[in-house]
Amino acid sequence: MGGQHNPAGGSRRRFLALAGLCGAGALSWPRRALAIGDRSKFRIGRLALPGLPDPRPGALPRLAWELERRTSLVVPAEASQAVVDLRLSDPDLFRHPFLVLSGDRAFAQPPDEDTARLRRHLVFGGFLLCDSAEGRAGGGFDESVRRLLQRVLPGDLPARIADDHVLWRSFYVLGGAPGRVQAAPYVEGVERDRRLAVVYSQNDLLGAWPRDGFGRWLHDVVPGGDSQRELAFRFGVNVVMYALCLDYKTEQAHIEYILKRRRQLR
Amino acid sequence: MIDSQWNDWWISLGGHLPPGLLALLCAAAGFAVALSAVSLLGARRPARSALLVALRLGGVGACLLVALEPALELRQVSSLPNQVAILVDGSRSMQVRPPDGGPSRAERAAALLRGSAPLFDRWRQDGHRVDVFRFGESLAPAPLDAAVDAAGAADATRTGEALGELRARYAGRDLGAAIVLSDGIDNGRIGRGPLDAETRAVLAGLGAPVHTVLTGEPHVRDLSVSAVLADEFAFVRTPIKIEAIIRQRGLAGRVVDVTLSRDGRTVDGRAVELGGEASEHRVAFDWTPDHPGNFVFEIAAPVLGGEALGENNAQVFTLKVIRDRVRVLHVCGRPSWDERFLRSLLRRDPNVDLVSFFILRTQEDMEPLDARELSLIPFPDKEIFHDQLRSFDLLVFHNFNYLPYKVEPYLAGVRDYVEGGGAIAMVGGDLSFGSGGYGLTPLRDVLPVELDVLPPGEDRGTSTDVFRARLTAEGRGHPVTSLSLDARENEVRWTVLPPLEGLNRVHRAKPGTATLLVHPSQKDGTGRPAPVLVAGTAGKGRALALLTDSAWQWGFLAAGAAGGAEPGGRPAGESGSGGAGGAETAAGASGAGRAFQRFWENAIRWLVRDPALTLLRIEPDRVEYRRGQPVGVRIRTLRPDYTPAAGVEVTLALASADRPADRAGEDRAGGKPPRETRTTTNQDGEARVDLGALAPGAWRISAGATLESGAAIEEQTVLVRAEWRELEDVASRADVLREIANLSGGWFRDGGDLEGLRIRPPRERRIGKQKTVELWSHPGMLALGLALLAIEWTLRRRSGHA
Repeated sequence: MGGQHNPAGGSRRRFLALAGLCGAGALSWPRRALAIGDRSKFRIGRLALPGLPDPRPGALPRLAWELERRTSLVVPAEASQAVVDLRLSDPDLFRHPFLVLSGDRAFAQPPDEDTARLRRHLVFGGFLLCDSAEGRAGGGFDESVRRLLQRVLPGDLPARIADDHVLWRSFYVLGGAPGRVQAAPYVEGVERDRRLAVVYSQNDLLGAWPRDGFGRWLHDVVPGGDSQRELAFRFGVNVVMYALCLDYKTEQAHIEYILKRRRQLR
Repeated sequence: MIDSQWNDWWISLGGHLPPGLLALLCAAAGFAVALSAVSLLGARRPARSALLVALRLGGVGACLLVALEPALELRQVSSLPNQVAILVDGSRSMQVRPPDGGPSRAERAAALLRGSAPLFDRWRQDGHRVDVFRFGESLAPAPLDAAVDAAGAADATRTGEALGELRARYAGRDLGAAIVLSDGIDNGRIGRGPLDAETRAVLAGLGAPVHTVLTGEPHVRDLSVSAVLADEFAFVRTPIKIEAIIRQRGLAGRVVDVTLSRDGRTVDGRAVELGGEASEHRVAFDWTPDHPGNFVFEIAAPVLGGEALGENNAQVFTLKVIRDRVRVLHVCGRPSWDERFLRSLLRRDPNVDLVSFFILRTQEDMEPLDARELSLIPFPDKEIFHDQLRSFDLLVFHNFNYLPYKVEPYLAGVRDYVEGGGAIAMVGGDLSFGSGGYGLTPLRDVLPVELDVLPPGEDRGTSTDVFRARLTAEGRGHPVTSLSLDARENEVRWTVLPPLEGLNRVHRAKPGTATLLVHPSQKDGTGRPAPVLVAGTAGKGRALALLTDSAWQWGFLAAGAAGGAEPGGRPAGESGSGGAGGAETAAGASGAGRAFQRFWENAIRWLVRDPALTLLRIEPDRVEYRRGQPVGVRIRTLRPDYTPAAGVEVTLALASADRPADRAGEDRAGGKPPRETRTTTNQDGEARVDLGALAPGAWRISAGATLESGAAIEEQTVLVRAEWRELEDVASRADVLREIANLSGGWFRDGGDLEGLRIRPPRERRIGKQKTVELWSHPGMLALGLALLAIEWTLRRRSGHA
């Protein structure tokens, strides 16, 4: 039980209307009033590591926008406020429990002090989404990420996230997580204290999200096109919802409903 | 010859001689006579032989009489009266009436005793004393009129034990007879018979006949709840089975509804078809406690027409329900980090059973073409706010707005749930308190803050400034805000916590609540510092208002501020925090990062009235007492740091818990119990109160005191139980009484009167005067004997015999 308000009818028309808005590329949403205090709104912290430029600028604001539109989350009204670039040494690192590390190349390992801060962040409840924009599995970014995770969470290596993990049903019912490409048919994760602290995709998840200033998609999504792009968005939503709600969807009250729908989808 | 002043006489013979000499003399005399007879055998003149033998016999006899000195003993003797003990059954089963509604057994026994008064007078004239006793659980002398008095009827009949007491009372005395008037129902060592060895020995030791008179009926009609089989305690949300044994006699074919009631409300019922002339039926109820407490239950069957007794148709018992895990309903209007970190610590706590419902999307959010692609389900308003509500120990409304989810109709029920002993915590946000529109709902009655009446979503209900919450004087001593047992350290911990951001504005904290944290600069509607955290009671329940949604930063942000890596490459919090466990919730166990976890642990324990947090404790000696057993209560008072609070005045109130009316003072042995009494705790923070013996039934004992932390009330329930086996089967039992009579040499009578009962005469006599008259001790008797022997000798010589 629990989850959505579910009015009957009109869903297709509303979806098309919203799709139109998406096409306009509007990234400002003066919609709900929201939350008391800026800190109560959901923000994404993008980890900015030295020598690792942001390969997908505009992707995370787009995800924030989608979160606002698709879920009950409240994010800051301005895109610039929804995503915050953070260094590991940044004093505000712990104001942002949700972190994203994206890159398209190998990067230099941060100093031990920064690594310790990231470990503390993850161990004490933070969450890290890693996304490789290299368009292939096993590139330089992949190698650097794995080395970083080895230092941050020694002994807890990334492992393939099981098909029955709650991540696949934290909001949408999903069977996979393609991004701009499908470089790896799986997503990996690192578990700490019975929760995923790190989720790692090599499918250039963020590459499927951004638009240009004219509302056009910045990158083609292959091989699935728009339906694959939609799945990429959905996976992004699921990751955020999982970070915020953990295994909420595994509670007994939800299982029967969700399994039933999953069977129908297949 | 015997004067009338002598009423007893006998002849003594040889009493002065030693027994050996007496025997020798008699033997010699017999030998002498026999020798004479033998010597004359075969004589030709039988007549002469007979004469010779007769002379020998007469001579020897006369000499023997002289030697034995016969005497007439005369005595003036009077008898001492012996006792006749009448034992009357004074138990509750004697209140049974026959189906036609005639006099009860006790009334019939009373009539029998009254009608026997002339007989008792005759017995007295015949030298018997009549003692009357009443027996039930024990034997006690009673005036004839009071022996069968219905008031104070005993809860049990222990006939064998009563006879044992009778033997002890009459040890060394002369008991002429005992008469037992009873219905034969025994719940002592005899039971339904046959008699046990001890009772048999008692009867033999009495040395007197025990006559038994049955005061019963040939047919009786009765339905009873003869036994209840239930555990003394149960766990919340764990199903238990409560069984009752229903006995009936003479009600074959009837269908009765047996009900299970809790605190006066029927919770279950079963239809039972009664079979056979006398039968026993086991009725089982399944019940799942939904919240902890001491509950008074009653299993009852209806009182049918013509029943012998109505009071055995119900049984009251208590059941203590304890909590093994705290069941928390976490309802959240929107995913947020505040929700996330609270959920994280709740789900890790092994003592918490967490049920969550989060609103992940609203009507305004985009819906996919196929709703089945969502893993979401409709909000189960009825299930959680109606069907399952009372199964929760605590509701957490976490920035949850009721309006879009059809919850409004259930809010009155939520209020009743809290007032009935539940608990609620409302956590702030733009969907909470006044901004959530709760000022218009029944929930405002239980929240510890007064809300401004605002439409839902109204921004005026919130402020967004960053502030550091200030601990109040009340907060310093309150368990919810106790981050450290050391008061000074506690204050320091609060001052170093990360600041909060955003506040739900309320008119004020309600009077009588405890404002624990306040805003450092903002004022409420009354000009006082705006409350941030308020704790209060609502009816029997508790409520907490946390007027911000940024408390999560007391944990995560504080952990980050602590900085640095933990030694050994593992976080300090991971290395065995225990309790809630896990690195995340134990974050910074040695630092400020633990505050969020500690705060919520405190809050939950306080909200659900964790006994360990109770500063006023009341502990009865036991949960159940027997009738007449004094009820004692130990009271303990504690300071906020859980050290003993000495010199605290505690008011103790006593009220019936199983009847609408207060029965304090009713039917109590040894004086009236106090309805309300006061006591003061000693240096150890303890006091003991003796409430005396209470009437059977359930009693609620409430203690109230003003402690340093504020007013405190604590309650306990105890049960005073009457012996119930007495009434479980009220049919009279003749067999036991018949066996008693047979074994003791007495007579059994089924009703009737006491005429003709055999009473053993008194054994004890007193000798007033006595006189000895010597017989035949005259010298002539010796001369006669010698003369006869001389004649016999002369004749024997003449006739040629040796």
